[in-house]
Amino acid sequence: MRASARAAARSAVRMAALAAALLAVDAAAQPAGAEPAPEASAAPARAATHWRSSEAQPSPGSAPASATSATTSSRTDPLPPPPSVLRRLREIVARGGARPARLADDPTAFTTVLRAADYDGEAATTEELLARAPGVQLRRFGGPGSPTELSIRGSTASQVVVSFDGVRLDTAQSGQADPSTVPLSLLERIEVARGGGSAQAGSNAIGGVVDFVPLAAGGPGRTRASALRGAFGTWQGAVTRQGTLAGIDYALGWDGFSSDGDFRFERLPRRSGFGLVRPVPPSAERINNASERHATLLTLGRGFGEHLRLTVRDHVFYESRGAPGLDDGSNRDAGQRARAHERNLRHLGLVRLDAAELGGTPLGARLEVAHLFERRRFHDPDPVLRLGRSVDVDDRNRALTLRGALDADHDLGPLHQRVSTTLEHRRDALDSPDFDDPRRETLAWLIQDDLSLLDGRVRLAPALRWERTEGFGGRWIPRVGLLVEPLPGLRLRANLERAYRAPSFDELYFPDQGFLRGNPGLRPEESTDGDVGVELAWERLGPLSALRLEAVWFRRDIDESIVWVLASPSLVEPANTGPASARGWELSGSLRCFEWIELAANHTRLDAELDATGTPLPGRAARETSVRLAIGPPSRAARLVVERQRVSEIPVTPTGNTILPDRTVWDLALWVDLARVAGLRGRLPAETLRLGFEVANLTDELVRDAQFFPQPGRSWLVRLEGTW
Amino acid sequence: MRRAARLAAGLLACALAAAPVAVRAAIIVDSSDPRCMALPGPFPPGLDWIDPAAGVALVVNSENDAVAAPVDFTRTPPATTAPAAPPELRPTIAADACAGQRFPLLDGAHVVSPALALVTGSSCESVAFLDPATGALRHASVSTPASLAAGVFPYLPAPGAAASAPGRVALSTRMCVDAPPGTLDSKGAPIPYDCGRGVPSYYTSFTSGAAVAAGRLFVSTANLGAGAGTFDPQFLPGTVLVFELSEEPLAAAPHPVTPVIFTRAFNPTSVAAYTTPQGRELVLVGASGALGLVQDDPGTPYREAGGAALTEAAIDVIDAEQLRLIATIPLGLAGLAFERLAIDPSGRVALVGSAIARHVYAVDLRPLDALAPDAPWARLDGVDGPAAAIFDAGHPLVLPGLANGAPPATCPGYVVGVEWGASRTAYATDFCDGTITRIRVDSLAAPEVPLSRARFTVEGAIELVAPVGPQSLGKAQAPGALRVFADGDAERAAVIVGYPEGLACSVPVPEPASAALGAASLLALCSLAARRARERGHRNPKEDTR
Repeated sequence: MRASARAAARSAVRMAALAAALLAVDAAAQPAGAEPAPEASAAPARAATHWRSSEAQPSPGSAPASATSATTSSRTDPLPPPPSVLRRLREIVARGGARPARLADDPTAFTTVLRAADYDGEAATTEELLARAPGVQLRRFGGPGSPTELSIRGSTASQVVVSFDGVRLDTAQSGQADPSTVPLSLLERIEVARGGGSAQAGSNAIGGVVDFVPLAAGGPGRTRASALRGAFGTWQGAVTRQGTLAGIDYALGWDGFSSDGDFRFERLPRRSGFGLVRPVPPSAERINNASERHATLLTLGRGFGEHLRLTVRDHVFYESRGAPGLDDGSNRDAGQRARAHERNLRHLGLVRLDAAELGGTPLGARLEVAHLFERRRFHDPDPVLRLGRSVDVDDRNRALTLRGALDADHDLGPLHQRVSTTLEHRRDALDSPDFDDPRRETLAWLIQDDLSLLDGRVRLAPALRWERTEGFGGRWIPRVGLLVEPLPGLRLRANLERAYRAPSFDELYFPDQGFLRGNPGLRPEESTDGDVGVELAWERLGPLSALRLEAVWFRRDIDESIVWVLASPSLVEPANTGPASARGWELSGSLRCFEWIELAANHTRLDAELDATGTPLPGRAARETSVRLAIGPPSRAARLVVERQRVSEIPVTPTGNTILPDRTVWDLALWVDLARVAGLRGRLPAETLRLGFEVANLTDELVRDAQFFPQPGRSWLVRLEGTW
Repeated sequence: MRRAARLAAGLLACALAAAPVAVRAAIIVDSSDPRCMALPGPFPPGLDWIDPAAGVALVVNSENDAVAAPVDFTRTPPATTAPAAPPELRPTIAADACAGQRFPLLDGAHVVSPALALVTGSSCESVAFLDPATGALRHASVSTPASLAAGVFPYLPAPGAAASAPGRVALSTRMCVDAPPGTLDSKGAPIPYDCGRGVPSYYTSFTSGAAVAAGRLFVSTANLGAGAGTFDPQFLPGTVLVFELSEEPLAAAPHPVTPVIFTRAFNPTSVAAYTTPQGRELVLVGASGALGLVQDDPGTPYREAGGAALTEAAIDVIDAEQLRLIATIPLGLAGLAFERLAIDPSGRVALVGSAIARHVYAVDLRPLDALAPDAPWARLDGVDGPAAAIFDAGHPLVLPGLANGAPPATCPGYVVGVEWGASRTAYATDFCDGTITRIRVDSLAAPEVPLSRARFTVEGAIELVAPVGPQSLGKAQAPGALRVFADGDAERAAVIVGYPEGLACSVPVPEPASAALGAASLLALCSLAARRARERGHRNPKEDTR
């Protein structure tokens, strides 16, 4: 008792001293008598005030903005207040045109919005943000620049649709996309919609949908640049520019990253019936782990008259990296591959035409064509032990999507209705010397409704999709959601939906190599999802502001799950397996205290198991908790951020009998805006100039998301970022 | 500002200093089957008795951690009797057997005595010397006779050089062998390689089995050529390397005159010592024949897979004293499994499983005793010599498959281990169906040679673990080698299971008619118990290993 009281007192003193230090920095940053800068007063408010106020005045012909969860920032849009028609167009553009297939726009969906601006000054990455969202688990296969996999509510990576401005990044070959390949510097926000989303997004959206929303084009000219230097020879730089020139809105950006990746790692001992066997060597250095990445973004937008807007977007990603592979050997390098290498190139091109109030009617339309090209090359000149030969892969994937959408809203007495319909055609093709050039065409038609009663206090959002995937016939995919707001600040949501996933080309057509082969007889995965939750929000409660709490219960029943299984003594192939279920809780909350302290936390509890045996689905942790504490003045002159993430043990085999240990990871970040420091203010040619220092994995915890893919321990970085 | 910055920096330093010291953790490998003990990795390759009367066997693990340890199978679940966790073996073996150039994939185990066990390894071709009581490596004095040319054994000491102290923990079995004139590979082509001898020659590879007979160590090497793991790989002529072996003090050296004996059939995968009733010491070499993989035929509604026999299998017989091949018992396209032949206690019959079907093959050993000591090599096929095969590829002993077993076209059977019990019974494990099948012979003393097939009865299968296939996701699968021991009036089997975790299991082998129900009930109860235990979350993989 006495000891805990002393500990609490020490913490309080420490917090007070930190606050005093930050106060001192803030005071020094402000000239005497000056008003706080407008931007400072509109600091990120993770509050329900956003959705409450933005829905307060729906204009005729416009629908209320989507009611997203409280990580949405209320930062004002950079555009000047537009006339009513342009406002309508902007809403269309901002919300994805005439609302085509976007689960995140569904008012009843449980969505987390992660705004890049909320992490200004920090060296945050897309995968780090995603890992801290409720219901999301991330598997990393190394340090920065290494591949990652995403899981939502216990899904596999190929059961999550990952899109860039609504265009899918996952290819038909793998069925999944690596979220770490989209740098945060090129994004405005990330929207994570949890739950079955096949009605809006089509195949693969069993776990949910992650949409990367790129930087908006237009506005007053703004340039941002950053440079980072970190451990393991890591460098990163980014430059973005948004503005308007000759009537054309533009956003362009480049993000470059390189790292030697040569971190030392400890290898986990293994405890079995033989006792605790220590690996040899007990530690090693990650070899052949250098990586280099570049990503670019170009967005052009122009309005034609008051009713049309054309957007062209181009995004390129390139990476070249060593592939050290598993650390399952006993030589000095622990069995890592010394010369395996991969190079990947991705190009996404999009042309979109939005129209509002066609013919003077409340009818909106969108026409869109998008092309995705991805080339993956892998080469390992050293013979693989059991294969006896080297490996050479060169796969080229292409996807062409045509999409058209119409929507209209109108009032029927007390009922406000918005109906939208979308027609979509997609063609996927794989060119590879190892495959027989498979092709797949998908045709889909979606109709969505959004019925609003009692000034939006009750909303019913049914959706129905018909989709035909070549080789798998057509299917109807229904979804219905309900939102009820019985009291201001209290929202109840519930959803029920069906979802499915067509097998990928790898699963169907992987060439028969004797020990590994695809299975053309696979059936699609099918699931039924449901979730129900409550959201509480208060603008102010004493010293607390932007207070938000959310609790969601979810369940998914999935059948015909496709799993790579042992089929014979010498063969592994994918097969449809029996039913599995995932259920659990997502608890999240955030608040601000005295305008100086921001606290956000979430906890996810997941029970994912095979129904036949009750064994846990491998690769998913049963519990994950994230806490983020940010301390700093409202002027954002400085920030101290402490984050803690705890992940419970992870079973890695289908029996659940091989288990990776749990871990708790602490991260620390501290930055100061030099442009607000006395003596420098006014002298620096920058609106903001943030210098930051961060330590990741402060306690050097041994972290592994997979048995044989080590991750770095404690690491540091220094970052400088400026805007003007 | 400076004071504030110093204060912040000092506070940060305090936070770092006060941060909890990382507690290093471990990967936990557990078993939810109370009959089984978890092993460090899947597909454990080696199992051999140390003391059958005490039910203690040496178990070798190769994946994840290459270790070996003694296990007491009289306990349920079995438990190791080693005083401490066994050490990782690969780096030390590699250093001594191939100059650290490669690392061995451990294979089978052969316990010579309570003080010595041999473990074979491939990639780094080797035979390692172990203390079976601890799983630790033992040092042996290794030398090369001066009669051998330099470079024939590239990783052994130079010919004629004195053995260095403290010796080596492993014997390299990489040898450059000259192909006998006119020999062809398994595809019928001349040997295309030359390991620096100026004549068709090749390095031995895929060390597969070890046995001790007549004071000598015999090591089989399968000699896979190009195309390993493909549908139609190349096999080079199989070999058995011969070493002089002393157990006390422990010493080994290639035989100075006959360091290698070529087998007649391709792909020798096991060796077993056998002493005839007249005391002739022989080595029985199980040669599986060239094996490939079955490719799926898109024209059928089935998903074909499994192994394919490309050339004839046989049992080659070596005289351990004379060091020559004296007989071959052809078995046709049998695709022999890779465990050593199971010889019944009376020495009459040797059994071996099939790697490509749910078959067991048997040979009558009596004709071997009838061979004159100086007789030339004989093909014991009933044509050129007396017949010795009882069950061969043309007339296999077929084991029953389960009605709900592995898909027959994809996994047609793989009888990994066969072992004799008491009272003329034998037991065979099937990788595909997850079963142990009991075979009974009504007489091993019958006068007819070979023993009549009618004397063999398959008495039914026990469901040990789940059959291979998608329906078994989440369940233990793939039994491997087994040994049988007496447990009071009954018998128990010590079995290793391969997937997804390696397991060492001790199971009763009662009459099959009642065993199926009992085993199924037991499995259901065990699974339920395990699930309840997980829900209570009493497992704690975090270890403070400081």
